Amino acid sequence: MLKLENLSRQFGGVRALDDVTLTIPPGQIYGLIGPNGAGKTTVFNLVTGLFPPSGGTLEYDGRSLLGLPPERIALRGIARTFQNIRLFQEMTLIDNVIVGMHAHLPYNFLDLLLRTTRFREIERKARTRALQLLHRVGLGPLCEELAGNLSYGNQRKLEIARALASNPRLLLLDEPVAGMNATEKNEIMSLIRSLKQDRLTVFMIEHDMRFVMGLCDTVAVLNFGRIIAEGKPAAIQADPAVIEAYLGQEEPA
Amino acid sequence: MDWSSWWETYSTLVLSIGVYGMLALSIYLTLSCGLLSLANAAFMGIGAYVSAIITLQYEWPFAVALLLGTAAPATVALLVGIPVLRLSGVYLAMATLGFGEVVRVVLLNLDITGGPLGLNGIPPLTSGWHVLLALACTIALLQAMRRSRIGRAFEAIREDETAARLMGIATDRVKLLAFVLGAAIAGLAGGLNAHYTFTLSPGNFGFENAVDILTMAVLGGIQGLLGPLLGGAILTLLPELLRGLQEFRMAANGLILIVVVLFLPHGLWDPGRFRRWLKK
Amino acid sequence: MFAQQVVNAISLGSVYALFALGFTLVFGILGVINLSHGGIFMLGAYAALFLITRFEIPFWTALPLAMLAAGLLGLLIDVLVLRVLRKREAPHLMPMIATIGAAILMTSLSQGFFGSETRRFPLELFDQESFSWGPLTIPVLQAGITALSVLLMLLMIWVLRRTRLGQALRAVSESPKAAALLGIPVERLFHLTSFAAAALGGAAGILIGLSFDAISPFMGQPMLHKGIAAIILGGLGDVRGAVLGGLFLGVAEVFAVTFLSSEYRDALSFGLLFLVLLWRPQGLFGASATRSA
Repeated sequence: MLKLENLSRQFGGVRALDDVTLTIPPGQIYGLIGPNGAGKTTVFNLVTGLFPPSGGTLEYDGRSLLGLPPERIALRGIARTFQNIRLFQEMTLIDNVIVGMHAHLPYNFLDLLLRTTRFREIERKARTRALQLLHRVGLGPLCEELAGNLSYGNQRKLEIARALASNPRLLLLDEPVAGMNATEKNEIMSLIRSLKQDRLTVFMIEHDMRFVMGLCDTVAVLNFGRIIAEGKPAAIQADPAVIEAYLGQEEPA
Repeated sequence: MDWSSWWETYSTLVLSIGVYGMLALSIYLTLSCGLLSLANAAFMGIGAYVSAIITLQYEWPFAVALLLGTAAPATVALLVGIPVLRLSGVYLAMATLGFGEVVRVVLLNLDITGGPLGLNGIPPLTSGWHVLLALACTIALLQAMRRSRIGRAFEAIREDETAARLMGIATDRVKLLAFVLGAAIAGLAGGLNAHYTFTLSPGNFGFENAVDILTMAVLGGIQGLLGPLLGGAILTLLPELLRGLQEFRMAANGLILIVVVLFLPHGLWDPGRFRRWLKK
Repeated sequence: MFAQQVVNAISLGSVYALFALGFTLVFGILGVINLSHGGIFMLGAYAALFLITRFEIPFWTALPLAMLAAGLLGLLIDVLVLRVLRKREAPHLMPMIATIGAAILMTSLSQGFFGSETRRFPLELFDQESFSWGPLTIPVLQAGITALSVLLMLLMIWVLRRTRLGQALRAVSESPKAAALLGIPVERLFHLTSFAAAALGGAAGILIGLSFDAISPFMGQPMLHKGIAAIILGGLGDVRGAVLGGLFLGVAEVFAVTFLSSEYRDALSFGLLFLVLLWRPQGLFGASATRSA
């Protein structure tokens, strides 16, 4: 589904990513773990086109993503959430989700000007679907609140709903359960499982080991910009190189 | 005082409220995408000069003059906007400020614009219903956009441009739309304005006017269309109310900008604040 | 003829550079485009004028006093306006809009109180002599203006480069938060920067008032435009860039008037600014987008 080959990225003289090669197979939940500062979010930023790689290739569905601006990559069916939540704080929950559908509201300028039936129909359907998505993440009753008023955990849920709004085939989740309590973590876990049943591919960065190991089909470990291991969760947990990388690090939360 | 003499006394003022309302709405468009563009006075100037030259020298119908007075600044905005809108924040503000100065100097030095003397004896063609219709069309257009994917895209870009792009919003095109449409509205307002003030000079479209327009939108607030209209009306009426203080008219503008930014960051018309008041 | 123009260009450019230096300093350290810098520049000239004509204070005393007055005005704007916006962490366009307001306020109040007419420094103050050097004729006044602005710039750059104060200011310009953690009194340095920048702006106003022999409420706005052009040419927030940008602008203007026409002189700075922004937004002389002071 997504193929990263010899991907590198330098900032100034620092190599944030060094020769990263990964393949995310369709339909999987794929985890990317590693100590703080290993370059995990950089991988997501490269995949979503926020900045170009210094070297290597990026392929999605057999076609290169290189040189495409973020909005075009989004249209190809990749959506993401952010480690440091980036919601539209002053918009309502439901509007946040409808913004996620932006490119999939096929009315033209004349339609919106004249408020044609077509326009009203599309907008009504968008609202209905946005509400469904909010219910799916458990935020239905709050749909007219402002996003900025939500609790931390709920903001993360809203980000997932917004990302799902564009009907992606690949979903990138950047620390989806950071700062959440146990109940919320369980909710997100079953949500992600249900996404897998909907044949969505999930590529996830997460620090919570129990969460990653309980959910992922495959896990890759990034340390100092390099992939040091990849495999089934059980094999990763036993891998001496991985244990070595985490030694001296504070206990991953 | 009967109607006709009232109108004779106040028609210019009433027409100005409408025209400045349109100008405030024109800068509202870019502000609602989070862009500070100081080019709208220049776009107004281009529209005013183009339409005045058409009625004055070619004696074509007023409607054609207004149409071209709308299209010309929009075309300029399209050409300028494509490179300039790559800039953001203070850089964009500086570039548009620069563009405005270049336009002013060009108007000052061309023969067809009458140089520093400007144009005089422009036929009095603008009547009340022209302004009313233009304003109504502008409001209808902007209101329709607000309640659609374009309006949501504006707001998304203002809040977080990167996140907006990742939602699949082609931010370049959306920003260009706001810029060009703002230029068109400002140009139309300029064309209408020229045909009831009867004279034009390059000094009418400089930095002070750009600030005037900005003050209207900032004072009124950009949370809805009523804000800019309110700001435009207040700033048009203010000099009339402060007749004795003619020389300090711009001082009032300056003070308003500072006070609003410090104490009323959302402007006068702020539905969110009204809702909070109701809740209390 | 050519050499004479070069002298004129350097003289004009050095005052532009002085103005731009204060302007860019505020951006580099406070992260704010202070559009009231032109108003401060104008009021600096008026302050000196009044000290000299009303109170008959000699020029060399009036100059530092007027700079002090301009500096206090800059400090006032910082304390009353910019500090409030910093506290609120207002979006970055807010301070810009507020300082546009301050600029308009200053221009309009000066127009109301001082009148719109152009004033002059009493000419008998100064030596009307010129000295000749080869084919060049350099009026003493012009030489003095250039020397004074160069001196003030060197002083400022020395403080930034060579003193502990400068070190602290550089730290603040890198990251106010990190500087605060190091125990640097960030807020006080913001005030000091606003003060110093405004004092330099006021000095530039006095020097321009002398060299063009004209002071009016409207002198601030065109100067602000030139200052904007200079600091964008040089790269926003870059001190060396601002000085080079100011000099470059002076040269460009003098030669544009000589070889093109004077009508387009005022469009030149903005034409340049426009092109530079599109082609190299980090400025002609800035090495990168990183701010350096």
